[in-house]
Amino acid sequence: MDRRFDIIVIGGGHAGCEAALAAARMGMHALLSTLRRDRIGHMPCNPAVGGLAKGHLVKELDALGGEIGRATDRAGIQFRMLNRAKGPAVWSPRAQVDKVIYSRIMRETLEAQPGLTIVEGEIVDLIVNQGAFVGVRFASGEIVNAGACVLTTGTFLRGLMHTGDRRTDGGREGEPPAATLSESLRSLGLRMGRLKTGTPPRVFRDSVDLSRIDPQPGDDPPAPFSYRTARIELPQVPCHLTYTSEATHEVIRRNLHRSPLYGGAIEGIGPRYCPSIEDKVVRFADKDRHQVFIEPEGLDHPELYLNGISTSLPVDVQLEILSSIPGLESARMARPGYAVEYDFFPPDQLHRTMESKCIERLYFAGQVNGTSGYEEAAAQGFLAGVNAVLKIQGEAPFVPRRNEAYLGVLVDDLTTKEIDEPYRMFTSRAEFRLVLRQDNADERLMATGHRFGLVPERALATVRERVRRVDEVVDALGRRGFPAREGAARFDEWGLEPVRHGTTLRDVLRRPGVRLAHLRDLAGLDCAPSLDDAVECRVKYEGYIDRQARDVQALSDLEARRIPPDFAFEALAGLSTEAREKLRIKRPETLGQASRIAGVRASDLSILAVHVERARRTHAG
Amino acid sequence: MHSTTDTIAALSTAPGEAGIAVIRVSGPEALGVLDRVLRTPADRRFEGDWEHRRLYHGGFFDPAGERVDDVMAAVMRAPDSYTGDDVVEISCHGGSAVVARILETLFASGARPAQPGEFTQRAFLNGKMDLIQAEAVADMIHARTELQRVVAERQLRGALSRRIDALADDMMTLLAVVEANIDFIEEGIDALDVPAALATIARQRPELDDLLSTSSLSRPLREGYRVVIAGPVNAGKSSLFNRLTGEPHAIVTEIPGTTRDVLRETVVIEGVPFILHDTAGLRDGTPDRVEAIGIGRAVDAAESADVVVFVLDASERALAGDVREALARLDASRTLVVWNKVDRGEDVDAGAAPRDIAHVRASAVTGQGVDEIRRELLRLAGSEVLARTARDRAILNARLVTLLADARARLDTLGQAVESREPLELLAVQARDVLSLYEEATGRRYHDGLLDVIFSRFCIGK
Repeated sequence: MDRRFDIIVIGGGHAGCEAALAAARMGMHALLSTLRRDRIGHMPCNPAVGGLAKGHLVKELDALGGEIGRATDRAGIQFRMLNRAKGPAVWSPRAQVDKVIYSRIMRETLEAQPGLTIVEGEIVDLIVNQGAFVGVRFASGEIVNAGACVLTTGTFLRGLMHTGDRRTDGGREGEPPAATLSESLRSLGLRMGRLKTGTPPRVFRDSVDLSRIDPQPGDDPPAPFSYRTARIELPQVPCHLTYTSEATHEVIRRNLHRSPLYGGAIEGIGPRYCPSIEDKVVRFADKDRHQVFIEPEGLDHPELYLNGISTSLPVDVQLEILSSIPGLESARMARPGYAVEYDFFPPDQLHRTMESKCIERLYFAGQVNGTSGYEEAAAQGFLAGVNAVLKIQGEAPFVPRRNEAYLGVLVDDLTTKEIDEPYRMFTSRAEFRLVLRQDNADERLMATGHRFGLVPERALATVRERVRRVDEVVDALGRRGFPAREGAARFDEWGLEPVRHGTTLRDVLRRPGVRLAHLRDLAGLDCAPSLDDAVECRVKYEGYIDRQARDVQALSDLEARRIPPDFAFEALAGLSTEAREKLRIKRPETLGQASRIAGVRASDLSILAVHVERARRTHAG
Repeated sequence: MHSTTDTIAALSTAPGEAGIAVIRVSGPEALGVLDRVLRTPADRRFEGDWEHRRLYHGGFFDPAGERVDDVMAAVMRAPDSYTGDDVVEISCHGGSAVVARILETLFASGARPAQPGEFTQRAFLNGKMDLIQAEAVADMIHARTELQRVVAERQLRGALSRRIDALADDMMTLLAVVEANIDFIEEGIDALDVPAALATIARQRPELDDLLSTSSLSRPLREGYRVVIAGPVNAGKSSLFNRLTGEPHAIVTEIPGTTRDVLRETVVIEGVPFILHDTAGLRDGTPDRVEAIGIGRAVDAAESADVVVFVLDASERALAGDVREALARLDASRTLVVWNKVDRGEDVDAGAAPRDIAHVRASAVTGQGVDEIRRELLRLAGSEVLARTARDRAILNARLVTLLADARARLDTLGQAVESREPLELLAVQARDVLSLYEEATGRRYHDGLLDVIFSRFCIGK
């Protein structure tokens, strides 16, 4: 192995894969180090990619030249557009994948990538010189130097797994933790926290009578995530939906004292959006049943994933739980569920480029930053990889803003918000949700991906052509009146409100319930149905988007006001105690970031603004 | 919770000679400062820690070790103090030299001069009060009438804040349901309950209407009813103004047109403030340009007045044509005609003024009829409504009126959107609009807790 690389990526999970691929594709000599080569791109939690807000992240990564969307398309065995009944801003694609195929495809993609070397080994130490990363030391003693490092160690730092009172050191089932590296990082002065997450038991497919359980089919035809995918190749299969029973809840209540969660053995904080089944039974005692979503782990995979009953109860209780769930009565457990506790580095210690504020050229991405989810991890990996390259090349960093991408919301939240549970993306976190749609991710970001050399010219040209055609249709709608006479009967028949003569088609389309399909024949519109969604979004959200544009402006003004890196927050008079403490720890880089820190109020912000301005003038003078 | 701000000090009572003066010190160094300046009556150091809510009697010493005054120092420790910081209130003798020396000593011992309003600002910043309460402190300090005090006191206790907090909580719940229906659709959330959402909106409407119903009383309560004294030249308007205000503000001469600008003075009648405006007389073809500007202002002032007191000279034989015309143009429901100078005899044509306008016969010189003028002012201004309302209702200030009226309008927009089944992501925008106005009103941040509300209400997670 070479002793010198441009970039070293530690970890082969979803963050590490994106970081390594982006770096190599941008021309870097990159090394990816993993504990186990066969676990590259592994999915330890549920075998699905996307979903609300997460699907947006995948589409954005795809537009920028990331790999997760394409790999999902190639390994996908069921595709659904969620939230179809609501407005297009909150539609979100999700896919079930064959986890074995996904992992293999990702590994092969990395192995085939020119400029990227993969090594199996344990890195035990980071070598830092004068506050900057210079290299790593492997357990073998070998030292490798690099211009930058992306650390994506997931749940492996001091990982501790719980099933009942049985505790095992490790980051994932059957895999040892990275204990030495954890200590090495702590000794570099990084603040650490502890989080918890969990998984449900897996059962053998041949022991479950799926014919007795409601099937949940995917969309037909399946819509791919990636612009690179012409069609979905793998056969499509359904998921299944069953429910816990009163008997399940009784079993849990009776054995609650044996849960490490309730027995006090677990100190890390778990995610509220992904509670264990024991948590659900305790906290929502009035619900008589909870969903159990049965996901196939793969086309030929012998196991099923039981989404909804994540647990750390002892094995015998898990077996009892299974036998109480309709359809799972005779299920054989392949692997018990477990809770895992792990160290993370509160990400307010990072710049928005994912670079550490205290160790230059060291980037953090993925679960190690306190996030959950493959998509969140991939997004950070991509951002960290790209920014590490830009730093080495001496280029301006890539920091998408909150109004530009969910990626922007993600990095901004991570660097300003309190991470007191594993961070997951929600659409409600994006205040510019109406603009950040899954269908326009390419319009928003592909030009950037192209600039990095990660997206080919012709893909960008296709997007630009589509935007041009949508513009044309929207214009035409604004110029033409609604044919009131012919339209009246049809609108009545569709149960839509009548339209007065002289109303433009654009105004009619803006009404709730009216679709472009309603108007196409009536008005003799000449436009492809494939553009319908894009046109409807544009027209229906018009007024709202104009209003958001003003908020965007206000945000940009605040973002443009940078706080000097050595700014003494602790010395500011007049700030609230809480705000000063938060600012001192988080050290926001702009007034915009400062404004989003919980506990910082408008009054604090105005005081901060005055002092920042004064500092700027003093500096300039 | 320990504050890391600097320590501030200022005279908290009015400057000038007085029996005692109170100097307030607030900040992390307040007790450290006290260590340096206060000694027991026996000239010894105080032993042990300064105790919370205890009054210390002793000598105040300047940096040179010289005894300045005999003082009482009240200690209130963070966070249970007015500002939320450690606070010391030093009561000393109220002479200006004593106060000056004590302040100099405090500034030399680690405190800096407080800016106007800075103690309250700290209380706000330290979360001791919200914006509405901070405003009430200012109202309380500036209260000149009993009604102002009553309203400010209730607001300071948080009664108004609690009502807006409750509105915000309710709106947060609605927003949480909308958001949960967007983000957790596959996780067994019940669909948005439209009747329930409409019920929330229907609850907020009357509450906002109720808060806003007193908005017309906001200005009269805080600034007073505007009373414009108008009338022809030399009818004795300025004399009446002086009589009503009890002080000689206006220059009174026998030369017509002496009053050239509008003079303003506040008087309190039975707890209700009135701002009296003395104006230049109404007179056509004024030769003097300065006076002409004054007349213009008088006409403007009469138009924006709550009550116009139209002063006429009862001793004059007839009213000039332009005066009759001006009288006819006035709104009878808010005009009081005062026949002045009745001490000089009454020669006037009783039918000269419209019959439906209230009349009082008075003399600014003797004081005859002045009490009756006061009673008429109270009646015409509708001040009994204010008096009644202020006793048991919130009266919003102008800032809150603007914000809550906006919230009221946006609430209607939201209601229409819910009724016409607009998509959830648009309902969310509108619910957030309303919520952000509540946030602006109290200065609190409710939306930070949105996910908490969602997770506590819904069983989320597969």
